[in-house]
Amino acid sequence: MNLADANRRDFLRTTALSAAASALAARVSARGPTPPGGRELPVVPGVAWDKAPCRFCGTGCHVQVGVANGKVVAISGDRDAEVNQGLLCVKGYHVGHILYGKDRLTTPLLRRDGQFVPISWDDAIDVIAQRILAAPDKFAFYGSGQWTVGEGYAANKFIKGGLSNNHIDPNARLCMASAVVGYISTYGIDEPYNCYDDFDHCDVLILWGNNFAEMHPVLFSRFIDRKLRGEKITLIDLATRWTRSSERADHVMIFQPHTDLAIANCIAYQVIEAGAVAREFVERHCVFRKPWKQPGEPQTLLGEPCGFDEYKQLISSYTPEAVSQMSGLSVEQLRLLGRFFIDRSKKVCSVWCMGVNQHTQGTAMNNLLHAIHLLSGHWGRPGDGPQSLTGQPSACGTVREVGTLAHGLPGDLRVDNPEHAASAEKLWNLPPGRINRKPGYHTVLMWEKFCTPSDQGGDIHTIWVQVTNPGQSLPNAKKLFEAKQRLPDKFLIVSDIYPTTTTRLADLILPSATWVEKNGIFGNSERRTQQWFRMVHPPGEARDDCWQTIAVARRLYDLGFPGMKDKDGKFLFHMQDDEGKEVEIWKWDQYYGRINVDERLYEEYRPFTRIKHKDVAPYSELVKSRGMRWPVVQQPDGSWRETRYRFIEGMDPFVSSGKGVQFYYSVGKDDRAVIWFRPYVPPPEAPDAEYPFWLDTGRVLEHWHTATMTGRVAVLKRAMPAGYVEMNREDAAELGIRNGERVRLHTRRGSLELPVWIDGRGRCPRGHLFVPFFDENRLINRLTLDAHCPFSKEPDFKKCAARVEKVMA
Amino acid sequence: MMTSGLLVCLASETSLREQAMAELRSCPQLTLGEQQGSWLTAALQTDDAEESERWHHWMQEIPGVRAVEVVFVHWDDDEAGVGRHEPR
Repeated sequence: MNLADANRRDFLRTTALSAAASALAARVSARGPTPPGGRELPVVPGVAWDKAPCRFCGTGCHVQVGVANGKVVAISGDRDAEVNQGLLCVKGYHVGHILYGKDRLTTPLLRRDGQFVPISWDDAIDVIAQRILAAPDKFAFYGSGQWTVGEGYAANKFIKGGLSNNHIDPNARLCMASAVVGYISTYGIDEPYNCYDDFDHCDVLILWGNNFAEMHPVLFSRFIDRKLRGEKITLIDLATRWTRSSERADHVMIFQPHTDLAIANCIAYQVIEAGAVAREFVERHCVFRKPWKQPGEPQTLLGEPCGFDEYKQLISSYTPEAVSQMSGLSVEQLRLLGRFFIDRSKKVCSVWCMGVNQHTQGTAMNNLLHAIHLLSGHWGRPGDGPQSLTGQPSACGTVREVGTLAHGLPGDLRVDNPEHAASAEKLWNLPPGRINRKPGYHTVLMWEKFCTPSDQGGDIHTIWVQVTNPGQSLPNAKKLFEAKQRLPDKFLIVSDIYPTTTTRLADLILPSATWVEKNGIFGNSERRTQQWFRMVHPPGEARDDCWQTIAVARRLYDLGFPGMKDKDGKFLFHMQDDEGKEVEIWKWDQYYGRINVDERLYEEYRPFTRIKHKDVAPYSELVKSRGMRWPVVQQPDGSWRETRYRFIEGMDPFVSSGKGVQFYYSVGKDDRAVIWFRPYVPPPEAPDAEYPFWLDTGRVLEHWHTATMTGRVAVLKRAMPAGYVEMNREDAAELGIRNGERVRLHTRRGSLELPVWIDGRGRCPRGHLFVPFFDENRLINRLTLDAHCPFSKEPDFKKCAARVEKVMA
Repeated sequence: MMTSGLLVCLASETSLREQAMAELRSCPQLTLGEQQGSWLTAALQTDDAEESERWHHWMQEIPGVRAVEVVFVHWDDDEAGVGRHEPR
């Protein structure tokens, strides 16, 4: 090592220590105010820093991205960010590397005679426009909770304001649609009322089927830090298998899959039995509902009103003794859970993600989690309430707020509400009636229609996929994705940054820019809207997904398609510069030119958010901050104030004076939240003599979802190279299977060969299997079930019946 | 070369903590910095990302270490640590 290298090494070491010391100071000062001008960044010669939210999960950590010579070369936790206070999880080592996989897609590719051939962007845009012109009502967009706000907004406007068919849905349907419907049917409006501050204030944290330690590690640290500092706080891991979260838990409660409904009802039973109903709160702010007029009738989303006495009678069979038999939890464990809710002196926070949402009773389970908190009065104080998390960085911002679900419009409006549709038409300057009042196809139905022959009702002919990998993430993939191979008239367009399972069946592949290669905005799990600027250029001819959408819209406009004009005949995405001259943003060389298209789209979207009091912050405020939690309202002094807790007087600016608590978009228009009774309903498929195991699927620490990005990071790929099946030691012994041996897993939909992992990172109870879904060469979703929640349409990836067969060497 | 700034959270029990400190001092790639309460700052310098990851896991497995958090990462331009999927 020469002197220069040694000096550089020393310098970087000192910089790293200094960055750690600053983070430590911020941590020890326990969320002190940010000094004027923000905290100092590490000084590395030649490296310029700028802020961005992390690209991975829904937590919304902010990072500082270091760029030198046009490449990302450093990442630092952002100490001005409230979410993570300068910390990153282990993925922080790698977030910058996701841009630089050697197989980045860099040019549009069209399948001709079974082979991909490079084509120009102009030709690619034309191919899409011609497919749409041939059958605009049979075209669909399949997007993502990784879309930026601008990308999702443009796609939504394109479909709902331009094509008028509403066939747009995101992959977030597969991860948090049940939470959406749960919030709407409880409070009348979507998204958490609370925020991450709960993890700083709760006395008891209950994980409902949620591997918090591995899936949202920074938030988990935020809670665990308090334990390490000696605070008397309790962690309950209510789970179907042992995970890394269990290692830190005070109580691990392993229950039989699908019986969480009964467990929640059992908590409600105990609260009533103990006389611990929060009577004043419930009488002033809640109503009770049941899902049908009479038991035995089909459940409905809005159900029927009922009184407390009837609710009490309905809940009366969920005694700890009865629920112990169903759930596998002991009576003592159920009583312990009950006591946490009975004791109002302790603040109890329930947190959940996929375990509750990916459930054929997902909406019901969400309803019940809200119900036990409302009923017991564990609601409203910081640290005391129910909170759902998301798995993608903008599942909230782009899907729920921008309304990219098949029924949605921006601002949590609906296409099938005439007033909402009229408001959207006005804001978009469209002729009345342009927006189709019928919701489009939800995810499972969209792909089913695409994979069904046209003459048998398969009325989706073309799907354009952006920022997601449905070939790997859809359930029952042979039926919902691979069947496309046999349908030559169907056409699949995929915009992505790398080849994926989905591009294997694509007819047209478009190379995309990602993360800090473009301007963007995300919205995280706690209603926080976060902005960043482009810092580096995408490789080759890769371009923003948003530009791709606008370019196709413009081609349709030029070809005379009426939907791409507003009521004055202007282009749907008409934009002009400060001098009033139109900017031709459909031309790539003008997209990053005189105006910031991302800002313009966001400011166009922002008035929608005021309609239902979800006011997002002005773009200029986002630029200055590390995200702001809506509703963000301007104060008399001109400043903008965010909202930590909604529906609570003094915190939420839209609560009327003197109300205390006001659910101002309530289901019954009476300012009251709904305490639901939802009964235990058996799962659609359960283990039996032929298929005796429960099969559960999910994620692992090293890979994010289908590993499109993390699979390009060599160290992560080496650390977790391939899929496996977790199996209980005794089950394996009974079948004569040893650790590492191969088995064939069968379900009613297919089979798959995998190595067995016994007592590894996760530990399954008897009769339970777990397989991660990141491995594109071992597609577990060919085996999963496409049965879904009747209300949210979210499939259950967590439970189906399986059989294990040892593979003889 | 990869350089990381870390915050290491140590156990509150004195004996475990001392044991952990001894283990951490034995790692030549690690430079220990200031300590406040349970928290210790450290810089990790390795030849590549894989080695960083390996030491990170090694630290996490030390009985007196409760958590290892990353606050800063810098890598050389030729150390992007990227892999390639199987050709298709």
